[in-house]
Amino acid sequence: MPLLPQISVPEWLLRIGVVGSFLYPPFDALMDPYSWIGYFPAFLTNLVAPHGVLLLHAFGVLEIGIALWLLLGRSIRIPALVASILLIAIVVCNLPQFQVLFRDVSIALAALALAFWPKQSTDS
Amino acid sequence: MTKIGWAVVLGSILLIGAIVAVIFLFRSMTPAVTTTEQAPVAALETEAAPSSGIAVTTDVAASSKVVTVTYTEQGFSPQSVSIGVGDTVHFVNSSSHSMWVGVDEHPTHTKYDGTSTKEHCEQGKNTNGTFDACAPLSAGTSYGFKFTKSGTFPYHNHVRAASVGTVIVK
Repeated sequence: MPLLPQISVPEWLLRIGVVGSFLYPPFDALMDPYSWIGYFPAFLTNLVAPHGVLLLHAFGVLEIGIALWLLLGRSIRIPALVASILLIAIVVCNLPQFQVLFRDVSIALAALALAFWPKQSTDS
Repeated sequence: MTKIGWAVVLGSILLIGAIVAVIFLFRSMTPAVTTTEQAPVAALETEAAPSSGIAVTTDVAASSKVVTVTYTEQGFSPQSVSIGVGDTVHFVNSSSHSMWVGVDEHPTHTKYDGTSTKEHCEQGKNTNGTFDACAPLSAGTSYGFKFTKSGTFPYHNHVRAASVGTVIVK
């Protein structure tokens, strides 16, 4: 059994597109945490104060996990749905920054496309 | 998967890797910037406008106004202030968490003079006098900025980007 599933090129491109958007933030956050920490909703940062940076990196680990799961493709509907929910949540919690975050809506829809991809070509 | 499929996948991964590498390369090349002292908020004399809820003070030395914006758990208050060129806005952090006032857009802070945070912030200090605190300021502290040009400057708390406000300089 191959490590990576045998799927069509369009589906690979869709996966790589979504995966890329989840892999970049955690690594950039290592160098520039405050540019990312601002997107957390107040109730979350209040909950962990004053360890906001730790929360950011923990979220980064979750993002990497989702990205790898999407790449491997086993039961892809789960990480794809989680990814889309997270992206929409980020937009909703930061509506004043919609000028920057509007692309997240598109990425969330791409993740949803993966979640509802026809079964025979997605789940191996 | 076919050979073409693998080629597309590998090509896409290489392309993303190259883009990320270029971004990191640009970020490591910090451009030279000239250092200017931000005008200090000098001796202040209260003028007071209690009915509006906006504390207005006068900078005696420079005869310019100082308007105070308070930051609480609910955000900036007042959310919009209107001042003249040369006036100062004093942001007081009355919340229980950090406040990093920076002009929009989040997270680059380019809307005041076109320079980004990477260019005008160095080790938590502002290096070119743009509208950016450049560091998270703890509860009970404040940040003042003297606006030297007219325009509408939307800003936000960099560590809580949903908290926003606007300074209109006429």
